[in-house]
Amino acid sequence: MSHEAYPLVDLVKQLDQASGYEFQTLLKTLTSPVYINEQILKSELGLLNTKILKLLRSSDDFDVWKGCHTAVVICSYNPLVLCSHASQLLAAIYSKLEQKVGYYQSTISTMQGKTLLETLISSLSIIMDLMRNKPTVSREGLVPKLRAIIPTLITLSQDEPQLCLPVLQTLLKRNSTTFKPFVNKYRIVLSNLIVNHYHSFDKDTQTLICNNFAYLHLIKIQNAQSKGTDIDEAQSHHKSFSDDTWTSGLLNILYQFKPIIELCGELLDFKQDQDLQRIIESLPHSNVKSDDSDDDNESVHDFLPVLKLDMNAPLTLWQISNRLNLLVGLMNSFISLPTPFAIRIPIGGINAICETLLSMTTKYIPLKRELRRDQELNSIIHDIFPQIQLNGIHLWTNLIRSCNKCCIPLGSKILSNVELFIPLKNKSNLIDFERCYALKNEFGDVFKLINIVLPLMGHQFNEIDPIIKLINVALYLSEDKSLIDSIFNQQKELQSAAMKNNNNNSNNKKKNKRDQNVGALSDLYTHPEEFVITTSKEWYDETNQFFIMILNSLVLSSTQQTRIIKYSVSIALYLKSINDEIPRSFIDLIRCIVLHPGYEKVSILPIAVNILKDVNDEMFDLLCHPRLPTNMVYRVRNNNANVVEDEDEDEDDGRMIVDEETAANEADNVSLSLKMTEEKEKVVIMPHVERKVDIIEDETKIFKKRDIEDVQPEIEETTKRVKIVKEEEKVNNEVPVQVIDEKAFTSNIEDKDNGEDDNDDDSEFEIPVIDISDDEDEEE
Amino acid sequence: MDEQLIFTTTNAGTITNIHSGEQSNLRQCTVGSPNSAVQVGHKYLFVAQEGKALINVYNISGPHKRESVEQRLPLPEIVKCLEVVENNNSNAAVADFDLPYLLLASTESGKLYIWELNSGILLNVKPMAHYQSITKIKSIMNGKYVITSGNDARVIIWQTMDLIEQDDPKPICILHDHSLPVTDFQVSLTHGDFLSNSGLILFTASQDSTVRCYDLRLIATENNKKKRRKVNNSTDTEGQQQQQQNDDLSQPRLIATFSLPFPINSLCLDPADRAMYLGTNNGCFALDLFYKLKNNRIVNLLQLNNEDNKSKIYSLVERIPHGIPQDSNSLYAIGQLLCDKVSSSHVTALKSSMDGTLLAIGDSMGKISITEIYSKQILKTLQPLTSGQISNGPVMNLLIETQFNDTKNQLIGIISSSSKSSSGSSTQNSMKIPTLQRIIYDKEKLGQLHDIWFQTGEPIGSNNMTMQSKIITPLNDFNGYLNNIKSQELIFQKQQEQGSTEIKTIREQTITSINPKQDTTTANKDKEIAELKKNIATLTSAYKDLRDMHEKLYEEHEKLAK
Repeated sequence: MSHEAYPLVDLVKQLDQASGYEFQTLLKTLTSPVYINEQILKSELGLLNTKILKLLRSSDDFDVWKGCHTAVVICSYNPLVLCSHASQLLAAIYSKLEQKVGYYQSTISTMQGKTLLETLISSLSIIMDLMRNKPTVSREGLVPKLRAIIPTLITLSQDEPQLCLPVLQTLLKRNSTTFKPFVNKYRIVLSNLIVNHYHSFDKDTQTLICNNFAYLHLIKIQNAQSKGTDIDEAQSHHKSFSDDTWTSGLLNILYQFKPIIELCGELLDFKQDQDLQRIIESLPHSNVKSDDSDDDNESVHDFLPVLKLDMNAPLTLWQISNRLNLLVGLMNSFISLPTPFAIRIPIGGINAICETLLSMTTKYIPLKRELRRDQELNSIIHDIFPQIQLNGIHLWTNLIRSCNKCCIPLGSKILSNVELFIPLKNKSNLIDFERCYALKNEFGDVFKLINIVLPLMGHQFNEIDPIIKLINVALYLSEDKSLIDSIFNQQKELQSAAMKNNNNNSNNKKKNKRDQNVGALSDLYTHPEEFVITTSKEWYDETNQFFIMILNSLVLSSTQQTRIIKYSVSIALYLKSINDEIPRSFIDLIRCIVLHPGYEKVSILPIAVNILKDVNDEMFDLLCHPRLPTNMVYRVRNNNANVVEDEDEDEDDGRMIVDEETAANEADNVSLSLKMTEEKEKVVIMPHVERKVDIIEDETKIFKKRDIEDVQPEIEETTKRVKIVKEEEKVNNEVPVQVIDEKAFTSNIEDKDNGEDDNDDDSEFEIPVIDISDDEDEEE
Repeated sequence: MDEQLIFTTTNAGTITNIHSGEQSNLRQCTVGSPNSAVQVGHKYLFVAQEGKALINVYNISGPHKRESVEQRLPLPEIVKCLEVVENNNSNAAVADFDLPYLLLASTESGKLYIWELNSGILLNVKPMAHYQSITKIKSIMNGKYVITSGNDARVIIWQTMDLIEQDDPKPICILHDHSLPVTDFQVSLTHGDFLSNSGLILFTASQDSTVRCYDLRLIATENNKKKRRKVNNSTDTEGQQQQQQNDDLSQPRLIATFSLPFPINSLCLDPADRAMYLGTNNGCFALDLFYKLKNNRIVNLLQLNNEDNKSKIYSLVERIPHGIPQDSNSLYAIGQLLCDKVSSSHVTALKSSMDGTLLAIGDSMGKISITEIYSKQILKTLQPLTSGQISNGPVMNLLIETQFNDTKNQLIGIISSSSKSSSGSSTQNSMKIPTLQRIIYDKEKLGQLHDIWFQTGEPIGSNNMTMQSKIITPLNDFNGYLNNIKSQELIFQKQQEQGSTEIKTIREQTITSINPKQDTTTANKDKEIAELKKNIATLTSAYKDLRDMHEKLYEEHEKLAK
């Protein structure tokens, strides 16, 4: 094996000059297990190591870059190199990184420099990960280096949080003790990032910052501990929990919510709602504030600046929702991050906060009297409240994601509170769909929350109203919306206005002016379809998930059911026409509708099968052609050789059963189905009786169809039965009762059975009977 | 892979395996009633102690399972049955400290206690959930519902949410078809996302010698809800309302009743609902639920007649192996089904194995016989490892769990990482289960933090690598890593090209800047031009001469040719 390997010496020589494809091939060669050989450790691998070190130390950026990648690859795939040389390589990479960080400004002035910086950090992180968990290597190689690496990374994280924070996060979590001396420095850096730049980072970086901030609390702060013992001496004999620092950090964030919610009291008239006032009063808040040790505490924890709101500058109000956003982000990190020990999560407190956040709406609480005049202020306030509520929704979502079932008690509260988020028209109970549309993205989050709450709950809800409302909203928002509807409407108004009273020249002038300043608007009129917002696939997935869950647990009223059916079928067809493929969630939804027809009398099975005919859906296949017969008795094996013999026996048996228990309905049914199968077989044997074949096959089909419907939840059946009885009452005198039809039908079959060589006349006679029963099925 | 089997008799608890010989004894384990032991996750076993208000917690995880009691949970009362509602989080790996959500316990008087295990908070107590002692508690459908059965011959289905939220929870429905204590019940294991409430079948076994199966139709209608609210408001009319609800869509429907000549002690289902096994004082009987008639016909016993929707009543008759052949068809016609006798011991507990071929039969003597169902042969008999005592009492609890043990690595001596971490944590992480409280938690009181102890597991797929940071490591995805290299190298190459052009321009500039006197260069150029012009002139004159010569010679040549 070894002689087939590409000699390392040559490889090392080539490494100097290699670039492009050559370099990649060299890296690939290095992954070969051939080089995991202790014999070549000293000689060839040593050589490779020196070469990599040389590359890493060179002043040419490209060489350093090559060195980094080679080091990472060889360390990943070669345990020998990892154990013997990794610490050297790590040191080399680190020292290069330090250089680059030292001259940060000049480094990032070129793309090249930026890329190199990125590579250095990622290689550093990968090699550190590889060294971790291996006792000797990490003790000898990693930990001593970390003392130097951490401060550098912290410095760099001020400028490049995206690059450094992930690495620091793992370091904080995995090497908390080594990190300890740098905690305060890091805290300052993070606080700075949070206070000054939080809202200018993208979502991922924001989460990273929050996660890092939370992980700071893995390390015990001496300060807090000593203080803790001061305060409750009575409790000092208790063992301190390992999560003390974490909890104090978490509570600190939790306590921040209350003052901000109280700020909303400046906008809303809380006095109108005594209950809410009491709830707000009882929200978790810091007890320490009243103490003297306030200043001390503040220096450690209260890094967030005071909000500056000014009613005269309404835009400053947005700070409320921004701050809440930050707090929810931090909270999320505290409750959802994996920790090495169990932590305490105050679900009650968090829930209370979410509830109050969602009550921040003008729906039930009026605005303060003095604010009602100001138009600008009012419009901003109306925009802000949904955002405040949304924060509550996010917080709940995160809480349930991490604690799952522990949130079951919150379920019905969440449902009823989410109802508060649905905007209503002024002074009525109707949903304001226009405003819903403006909040479409937010509603996406609402459905996310609902979709994780519902699986926790059973099928009997305390309140159904919120669900019905949400169904309406979901259906409305799933329609594509044209952006220029309003323009057309305005145009109409304008025209009508013009028709009525305006023949002035000013109108023409205006038009001319507009044409000069703005580009042509003709596109709006000629290609209105280009200005439509299409609904995203994610939205459909969420709403479909919601519908599926509702249909599974609730029999909806007919209107709702029909609307959902219409939605699913039409959108599925539309998407199919565009993409030639129906999204998974629609297939699932259609399946679900077929299985849960609710009060509907007509099954959408044919529609569903028609739509999904290209999808090869097994479930519909099974519904249409049941493999396990749905009737009481069925055959297992069909051995061709014995067919004729078996048949005779079968018949005898069948007759016997018929003879014995014609009275018993059940047995009737048994024999009936037995005969059905027999008939079928006979058909196979004697294909020349063509006429008969057709009709009998028809019969079986009808039976099958009926069976299919019976497989579905029995709701339909019972309704059917009720109907039949009613009909019976109505038509009592005129027509021989329709229910009998089936029995008549069975006797027909028996007749036919007895006279095997019957003419076609017999079957003709049967046709009307079949038709009636068929009609029955469809009409009812 | 092996199947761990835990069983307790009245005075001994044993952990063993079906396929291997390992066996260990749980210390200080006394059990007073059936279904009083419950396995909690993969780590713990809770056993309610006889005559003591105490639950013993045993650590049964990993290769280092301990026989001694890990923790004792004191209770306000002596309890009989235990059950947990698991808190399975699908998007994270199992954390070290991973407790189920609820602990349900019942007392002699039919009281139902509900604790939240993560905090120890007593969420609710339902007095008189049953009028007599509860015989079994089971959470089904991912913990959404809880079913209890009692000596009062009733089976009650609760919604977990209601048990927690409401002060006086009302059941979803009560089944009172049995006439004597219900001893055991089982719910079919399969339910899908879409068929979630259509295939769920409940089997109940009772001392009145019958087994009943119900189609649990867990779906709500709007009307039903209103009715239910009414019921909640006026408890007096509960009976009437109940009557009305009987016809409702959302009530369980009796599919079939099977009667035996003997009272039934325990019931167990084939994992795929193909057969049902019944334990009686006179032996264990097996009934195929897809019942075979003559001539290759099969009856699906769990299906309602399409015509009248009435449930059927079958009586079970023992098949006599070597006697007169019984005609299954004629027996079926009169409502009798043949069933096989698997064992003739006094059965107190039953469980089927993972593949449905073996049956663990616990008897009144405290023995477990592992029996192959098809051949009815006893493969193995397991007994508690106790000394001195002749009888250990009847088998009270029988739990089987399929386990994965990494045999491949065990041979080499490497313990798989999962078992290592769990065993390591048992010594390292001294986190105890919070004490169970005695006072009902007041939900209405404002301003409570309601702390729960909780540990989030590592997100799945992190695998100790920095997956979160989106750094592609060569070990996880080498091609991705190479791709990354390609894109990075492109930047370097571009930079190099750009760099070289820059340098060129600089050079030219430097050249120009080095020569300060531009005039001289222009003078030089003029000179050169002059020289070149001279050259051209001389060359053109020379060419003309040659041309003339050539023309003359050509003319001469033509003359000569003529």
